[in-house]
Amino acid sequence: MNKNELNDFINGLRHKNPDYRTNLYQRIDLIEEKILCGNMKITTTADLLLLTEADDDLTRVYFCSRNETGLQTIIPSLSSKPEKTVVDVIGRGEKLEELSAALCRCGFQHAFRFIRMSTKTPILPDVGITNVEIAKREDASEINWIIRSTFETTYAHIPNLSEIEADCEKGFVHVVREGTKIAAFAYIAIENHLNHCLRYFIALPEARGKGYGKQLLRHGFEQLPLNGLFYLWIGTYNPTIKKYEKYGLKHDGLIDDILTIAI
Amino acid sequence: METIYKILESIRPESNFKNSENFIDDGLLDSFDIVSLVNELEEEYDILVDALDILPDNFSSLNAISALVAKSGGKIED
Repeated sequence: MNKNELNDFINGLRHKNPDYRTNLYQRIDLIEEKILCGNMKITTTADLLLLTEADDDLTRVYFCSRNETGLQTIIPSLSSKPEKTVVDVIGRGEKLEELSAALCRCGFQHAFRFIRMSTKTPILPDVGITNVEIAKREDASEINWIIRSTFETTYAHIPNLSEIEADCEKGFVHVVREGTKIAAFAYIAIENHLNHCLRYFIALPEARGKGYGKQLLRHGFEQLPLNGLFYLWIGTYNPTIKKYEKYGLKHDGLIDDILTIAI
Repeated sequence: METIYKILESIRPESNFKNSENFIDDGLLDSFDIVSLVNELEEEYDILVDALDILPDNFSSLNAISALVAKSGGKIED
């Protein structure tokens, strides 16, 4: 299916249809490219366009569905192992809850819920001398290892080494070192001139309680331009939410629900 | 533009679109709102927005939305 056929198929599913549901917000030319490269597979039924994308050892599912009947055909249309399949849905309010509930009726279950916390006016942590520096490309391996040994990689998109190297070169990673080793870092992706996303914020266990987190946050906040938005996604049960609230971040209503196939 | 603004207000009455430089980044519109907005624009301007064009960037501001309407064959009079 080429780009124009994809376009026509999706328009056929969604046009003047209030029951249309989707979690697909990628450019169609990129999707076409991924299909051509073999990274993304496409399946269609009368009521569904299903795209599956391999991401490390899991399969991400994107769908455009005419209605709930289409959603019911997602799982039967999958060829990969059920426990390694995830769907994520981003939104807020009743419509998000309705879609998550509909997916659960169709054989999925909630795995995680992340909320977006954001602010345009962060409260700067009070710190003394800071030892924050910008990570170098050579730090990427160490940062990669810390991320992968800290985070549950099953659901979150973890950048690969080359992405981390590129982001170090862009100045996205701020570190505090103890000797020659990285003790803590903040990985802040600058998505456009106004959007700063705190993707990872990690202090090694032995480096906690030394004020490195405050130093890194302050340094990150100071990079934010006027009217810029500082944000992060965090699990709903993460106790660190309260700490971020102290610095002016609050849940802005956006939710990312991660669903897996119910076993 | 005023018509688009009214549609936006009907979808998210609690949001202040006039104070935002980017509706998506600021969290004023989410993915569900975009689907609703496309439906409303198609109805109001009697257009079909290509699925190719249903991307966050095309809904980030009043100018971006009106450009999308124009691209889809709609006539913006206000």
